[in-house]
Amino acid sequence: MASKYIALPKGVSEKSFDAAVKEFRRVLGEAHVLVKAEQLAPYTKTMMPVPDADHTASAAIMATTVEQIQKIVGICNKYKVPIWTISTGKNLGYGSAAPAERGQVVLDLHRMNRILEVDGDLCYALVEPGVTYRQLYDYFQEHKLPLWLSVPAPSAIAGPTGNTMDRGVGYTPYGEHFLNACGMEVVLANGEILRTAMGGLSKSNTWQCFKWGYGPYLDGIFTQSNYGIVTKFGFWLQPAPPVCKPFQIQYQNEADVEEIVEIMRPLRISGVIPNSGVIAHALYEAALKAKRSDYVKGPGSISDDAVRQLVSDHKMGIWNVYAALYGTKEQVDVNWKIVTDAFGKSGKAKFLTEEDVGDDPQFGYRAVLMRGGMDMREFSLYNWRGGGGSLWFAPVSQARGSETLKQMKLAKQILSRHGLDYTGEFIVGLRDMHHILDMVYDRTDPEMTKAAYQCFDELITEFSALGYGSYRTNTAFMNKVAETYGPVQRSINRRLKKALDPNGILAPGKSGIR
Amino acid sequence: MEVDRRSLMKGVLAGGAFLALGVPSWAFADRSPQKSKQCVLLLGGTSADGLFKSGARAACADMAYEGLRTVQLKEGVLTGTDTITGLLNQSRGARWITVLDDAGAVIFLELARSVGVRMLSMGVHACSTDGPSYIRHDLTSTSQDHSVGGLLASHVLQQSEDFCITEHFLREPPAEERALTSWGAPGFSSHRSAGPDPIHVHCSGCSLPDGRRLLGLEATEGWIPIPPQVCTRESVTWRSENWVVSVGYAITASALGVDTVPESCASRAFAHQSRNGRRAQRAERFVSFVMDI
Repeated sequence: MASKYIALPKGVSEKSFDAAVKEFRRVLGEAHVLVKAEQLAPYTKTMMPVPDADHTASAAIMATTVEQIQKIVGICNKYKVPIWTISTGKNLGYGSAAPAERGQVVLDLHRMNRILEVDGDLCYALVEPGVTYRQLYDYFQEHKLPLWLSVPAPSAIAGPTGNTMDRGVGYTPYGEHFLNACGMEVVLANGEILRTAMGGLSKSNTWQCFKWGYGPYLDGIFTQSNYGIVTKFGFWLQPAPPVCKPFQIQYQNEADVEEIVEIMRPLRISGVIPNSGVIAHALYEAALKAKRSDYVKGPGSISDDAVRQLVSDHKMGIWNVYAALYGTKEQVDVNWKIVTDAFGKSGKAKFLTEEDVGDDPQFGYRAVLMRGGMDMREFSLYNWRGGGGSLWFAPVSQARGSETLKQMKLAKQILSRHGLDYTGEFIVGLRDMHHILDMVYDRTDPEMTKAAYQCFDELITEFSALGYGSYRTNTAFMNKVAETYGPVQRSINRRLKKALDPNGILAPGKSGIR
Repeated sequence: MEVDRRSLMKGVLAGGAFLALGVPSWAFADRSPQKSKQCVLLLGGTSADGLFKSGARAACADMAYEGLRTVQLKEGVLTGTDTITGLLNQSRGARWITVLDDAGAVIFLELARSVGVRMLSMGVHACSTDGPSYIRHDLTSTSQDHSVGGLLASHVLQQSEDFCITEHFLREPPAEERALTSWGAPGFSSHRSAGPDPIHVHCSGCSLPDGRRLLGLEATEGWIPIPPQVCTRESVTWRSENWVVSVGYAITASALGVDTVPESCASRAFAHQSRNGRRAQRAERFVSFVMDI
């Protein structure tokens, strides 16, 4: 039935929604309540293999203050209208800005963008959700603060609150973002304001210094969840080191990845390599240098021979290892010797530093990100296959060489069954390792889109059956991934939801929680 | 960044010649406010830029629009977000037509959303050598007023390549405008799906089942034939042999407010298979946006 809205929240009549919209406008002003198709179109586009119509918002509303958000949750409770909160996290390939379910109202906090505090001595920041990494970067420059950010791939246009709330990562020694989070302010579904840990004491000045406070540590339940709306976020900053030496190590055989991880792990755990070690397959970075159509004619996934040709043509490794050393010149020199000795032992590694590569884009963007700088060239990946389809698959394993090849073989097997390429990388945390695959596909091709859905479904099923759980997923598969973590976790999540948000107004469906 | 202006004289001459023919093929719809807007064509450095631009210029000439300003990004979107943000902020009140590669489009949409643009249409246009042999256009239009599909179908039909066009409308037509209307062109047979969100499918050179298969439409039952209709409003007076030029033409004409046939459906699709359809020799793909800043 035609409605004046492009979608309506599930179970909410047009009349009730009219009333809710009227009240949103009273709180936020006419200009900050968007219901027209032209205004909502930028919130509807996803990269998932499901119709965008499944994720179309009924409205987008933009708050700038905590008080407004308190009033909004009041209105949502009154009319049972669900809201899907976004700020400056990008979630490209994870669902973008679109809500988990058709008809949810997007609560867009990007205009809530004040940098509340930056402490150069204690190296922390407290920000609102709309603050971007670019804003902070500029702030540091302007105030001559020798501080570094840790940014994810969308860098300049993303922000610390959204990225950390979805447990995103970066590429500096502070790259495990939630590990470096310290203190949150949260608006709960009943309008109460919670300040976590030391933030509970009105005169405390340690909110951004001591994470744990007293009693249960609550911050974690507000990440990848729908239990509250984070309105202030504290996190730690890395002091700018005197020297940063990014490097690349190329290997020419897929089987070498086992050796790479075995060498990398002790260097990571001992702190010789302080940032996450990225081990990128050639296809993950190929679009920076080549066109797929130059190597593949006809349907199906790219052949191993074609990959070898591509690698040889563009002087890449089949595996390209990236990490950096940080500290004084003396520290970096000592650690560089440890690194080159360790990786050099087998004679398979080719070492490259900034001096060797000039303006090579492959090395270039990695080096910028490892310094906490702004560079989005990683997204060239979207040009590899083209057509606007992307699904990130992110299973976690132990950081052992023996975990690599079997995962890669399984992934390649499933992907090639569906005609898709293996565009993957391993990221060695400390004891854990993320296996990141960007399943790029052509969304204009209905057959490939269907195959992509099926393929992603199989990846989750087969990997989880072997014990590899996904640490993050897109909105179309959140239920499925939540299922893999077992009934007890699901039940606890549901009970927490019921207790904190009895009307289910906050992002129903997020991480499979309703 | 390089900014050039289309030759005013050329536009005046083309417009004059067009009007001298007596009956204009295109009429601005009453609802279109576009004539008062500055129209900007932003080219993001794809290999389609030149051909798209030539189609855009032809549309401007046909519609006697002389104000098209072209902005060519020297650096891509991925390394030029500051430039794009600056341009967006300086372009309040303008209508933008944007042509970008897939990666640039993803980032551009994020930037556009953050400055509060009003999106009129988006399109992904693909011709691949590793996928289906037909050229594919996946369009989202916010309403029938800004639709591109029918005009694009009329144009690319003149060429020898097979094509599929799907177009989704974010806003359904209001109830008072819901009388059955449909696009039509010689050689096409048209069908309407039963149900609450009707789809119109227009097939040329292929049966409805074949067309549905090409388009990925799964519903197999409940299709009602739509009687043939002649849409003089979308008849083609200008031709090109190249599909990218045609996309440039159709999208620009739509952005300038060309009067198109409003179909009473939630989405529509066009499939064309010619007997001697030429397989694309060269992969080409890009993304288009039309938006008000």
